[in-house]
Amino acid sequence: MSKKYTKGTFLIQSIVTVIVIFYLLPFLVVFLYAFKSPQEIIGSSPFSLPEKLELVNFTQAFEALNFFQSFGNTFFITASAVLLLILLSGMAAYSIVRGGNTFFNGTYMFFIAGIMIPYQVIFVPMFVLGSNLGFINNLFGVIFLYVGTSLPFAIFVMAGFMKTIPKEIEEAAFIDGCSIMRTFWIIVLPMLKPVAAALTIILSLQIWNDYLLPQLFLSDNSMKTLTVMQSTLFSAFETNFNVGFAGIILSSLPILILFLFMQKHFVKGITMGSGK
Amino acid sequence: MKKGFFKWVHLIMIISIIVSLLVACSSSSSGTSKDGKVTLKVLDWNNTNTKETEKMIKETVEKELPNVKLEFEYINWDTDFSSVMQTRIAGKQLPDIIMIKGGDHPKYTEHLMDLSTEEFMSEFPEDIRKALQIDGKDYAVPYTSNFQGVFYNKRIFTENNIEIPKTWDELMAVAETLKSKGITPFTSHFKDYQIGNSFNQFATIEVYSKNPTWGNDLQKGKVSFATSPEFKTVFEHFEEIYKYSNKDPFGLDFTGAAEMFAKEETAMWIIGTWSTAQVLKNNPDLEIGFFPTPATDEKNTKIIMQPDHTFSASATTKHPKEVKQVLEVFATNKDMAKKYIDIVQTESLIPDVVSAVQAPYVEDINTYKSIGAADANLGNVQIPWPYQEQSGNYIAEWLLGNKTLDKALKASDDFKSKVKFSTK
Amino acid sequence: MRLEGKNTQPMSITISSKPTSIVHKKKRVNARDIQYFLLLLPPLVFFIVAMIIPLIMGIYNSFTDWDGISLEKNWIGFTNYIEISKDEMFIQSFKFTGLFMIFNTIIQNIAAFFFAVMLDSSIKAKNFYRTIIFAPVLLSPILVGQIWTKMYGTILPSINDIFGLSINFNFFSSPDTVLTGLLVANNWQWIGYWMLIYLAGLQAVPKDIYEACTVDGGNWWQKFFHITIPMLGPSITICTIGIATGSLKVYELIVASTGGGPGDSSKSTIMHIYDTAFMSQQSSYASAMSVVFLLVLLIFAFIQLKVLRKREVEL
Repeated sequence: MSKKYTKGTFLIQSIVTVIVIFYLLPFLVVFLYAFKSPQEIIGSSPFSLPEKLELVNFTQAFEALNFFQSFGNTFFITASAVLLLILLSGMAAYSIVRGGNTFFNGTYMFFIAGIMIPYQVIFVPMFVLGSNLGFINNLFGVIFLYVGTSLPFAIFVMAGFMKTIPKEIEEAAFIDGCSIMRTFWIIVLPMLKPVAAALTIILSLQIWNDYLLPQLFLSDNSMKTLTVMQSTLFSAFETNFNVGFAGIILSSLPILILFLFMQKHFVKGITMGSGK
Repeated sequence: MKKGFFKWVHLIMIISIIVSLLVACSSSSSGTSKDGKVTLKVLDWNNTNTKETEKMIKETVEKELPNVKLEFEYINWDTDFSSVMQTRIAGKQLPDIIMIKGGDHPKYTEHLMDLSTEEFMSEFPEDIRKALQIDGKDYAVPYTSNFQGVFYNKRIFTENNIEIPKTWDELMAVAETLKSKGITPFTSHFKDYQIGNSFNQFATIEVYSKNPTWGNDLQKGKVSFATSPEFKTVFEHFEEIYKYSNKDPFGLDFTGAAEMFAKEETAMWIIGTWSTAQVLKNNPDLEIGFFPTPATDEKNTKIIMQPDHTFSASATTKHPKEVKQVLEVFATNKDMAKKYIDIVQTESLIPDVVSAVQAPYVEDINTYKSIGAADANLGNVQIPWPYQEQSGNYIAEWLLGNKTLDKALKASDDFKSKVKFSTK
Repeated sequence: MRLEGKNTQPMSITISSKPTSIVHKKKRVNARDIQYFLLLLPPLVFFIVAMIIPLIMGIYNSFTDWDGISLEKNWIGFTNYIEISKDEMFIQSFKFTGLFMIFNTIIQNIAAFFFAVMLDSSIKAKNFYRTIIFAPVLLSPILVGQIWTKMYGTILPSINDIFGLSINFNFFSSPDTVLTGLLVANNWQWIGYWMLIYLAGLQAVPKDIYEACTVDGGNWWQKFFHITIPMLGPSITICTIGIATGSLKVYELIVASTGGGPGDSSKSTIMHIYDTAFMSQQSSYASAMSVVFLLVLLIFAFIQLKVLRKREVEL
């Protein structure tokens, strides 16, 4: 574990650099395309620099994505689902861990069995049920389904964390005459912060980029999410890759910036979510 | 994420509940707005110059019917139409007006408004109405038709002194000549829907021309792909096209094909009139010619016509009166019909409306039309699109060497139980 | 198993109160359980409505001939299941999904592991590299599919033109290479994610173990095999399970890149189920396929659990 920059380190540095260049290549192409005109794309090498910056691609993509609307929808769905998930999984984990009898243990197993079932496998009947419950073209229906299907994983992580919290504080609260509900709200919930942050990160990444559920349930123009709008940028009949790739930049930029700001939490979140 | 975080949780949850109540209340009232206008939703799969058509239709309709507002929604026909229709029907949220592709109607008749008794339907000639009728009832206002056949590069044909082929063998001879001169004969984009589309073209001229109810017979088990020599010919046509196509057709999609044809890299493209707008966008000066897809037997070499854009109404719309008024505008406003076909670059089914597009291929189509056209709708109605597409996949697997021809035909037969035919 | 859990609820409350002999204590225990139960109720409702009821409905539908639209629904017994056993396309999509999962699990694990080891060394600009390798995770698979379609179709072939080579880069146009093409795209996207888990695992390894090994005269390789790999055991388990389950539900990437083609060669099971239900309108048949797929997933989960348990015993 020498900190010196040895020959071996140089070798590793070179290997990593080559890998990173491979990683950057698609991004480079996206950027070059996004600034070119259609004629230039047909006429020039993909690696040539754009003759002049075609910013009109971005305004067109912005329009085609219906950006504010779809971004708002995606944000609303993701934020609400994640908040509900944290709250509900906290409640479930608390009663499972502290309730401690066979019923609560049984319920835990019941939830955990759901982890191995991705919703993608049961989306056909889910759609049928959802349509009967009025979930079609209803943002809350989609939020409900995200919450219900992601709960097993969230409870799994939460319960793991809950076991590490000492009981003493809660017991003191009981002696003071606090009910279990009140104790949960006032004492336990705030202690879940670290695991809540971790879950927020994993779950929002999943829900933000999900395509199948909104594609199935949200067909109204005003409710479409970013992922669904992205797929319309590349239609079979009229694809302008310059506009499409400008759209990629537009729709990925917010989450990329978020990542850069929250990089530390991201790493912690991912490792925590999977490590417990 | 300090203490405030949990206050936020509470706040957002409360807001969510309130908003959800509001949404629940308002979602059912997708109709009359405050200013007394009725908003009608239109589901549209057109994909050529949609911005212009939307603006034009809105202006015309809202001028004639000041109390109506149209709201358009666009989807991809080949990838999304079936699934979107199914989700809307299941959710009881069928849009008021639906653009349905000629041939798709039988699947949805239960959910469409019967227009048979409407006065505006009598505007249309009997044969056009008949092409779209189901059990003698009208469920759609015919609007445009597309034509399918072979689009060719006039310059290449003239420079090489090539005669227009009238039979499949002549077409292959032309391909051979072109190939020997170093010109790629066909543009092929097998990555997306071309095999499925040409499947219908070839079947129309080789199979349905002899037995117009072949698709129904297939459903009843009277005929099958494996035992039909005509369908074997249809499949074999693809092998020959594949042989004379551009490099790597399975890597090329429609957009790429339009680019290739526009750059004059190939001489012919077996497709429909919807492709020309995209080609001319890439190369406005290209001289595109047209001839009917040649059949093995010359007497079946006919231009293929298919009712394309048609307008239907939801049977459960909350505003039947306004919907009928809008459909009447579509059926009777010739000025709008003319503008529409000029923007979309297609042909109208409204009587006396003729396209102003002046291109060599339009002249060619009109010439061949006077000789007589084959109605592609028959086969299309009887064998639903997902079935044609899947058969296309089997053809692809055969061309790529993963199946024998007989296996591909057999697989097409086996798929019969895996697809829903029309409801009737 | 699930229904059992639900039904035992009133029973278990009485059982738990039985051993307590004092009457008023019994009352208190009951009240506590009810309070806990009230906390558990909302999550249970969400879970049951979103997953369990659809699951039961799906199982029921799989025994009918329902098309997903019409009002008619007839009980047809095991017909759908018998059909599945003869359905070549289902078997092919299953094979494809299986291969996709196996290769992903191997490649992503190894690559993520080595990327992590390399980025844990004393090279410069670690954070920059890490960010670049992680960045594709943030894209939606739809975009990844589109980007790689363009890469294979136009960008990489143009490298041929520049260097005068003739390598066939269009992986998506042949059934023999389409899997490779999708694996490259999928790994490009996800290696960065799992790399972070390995990185965290590496950083959790106490440094003095390495130092002790150095004192004992251990070289780099010995340290790697005797300390690094065993200490990363839990991370390896997590990544393996995560990658495997992620690969089994692949859908968006394929829709946006190959569309299942050429032919049916890259149709994943989920995609096949979707097409059957919403294109061909065979809702009940699609449900039956879901049930079969689910059974396979559960068997798979059971094996994983066993392996996990075994590892825990060993530690």
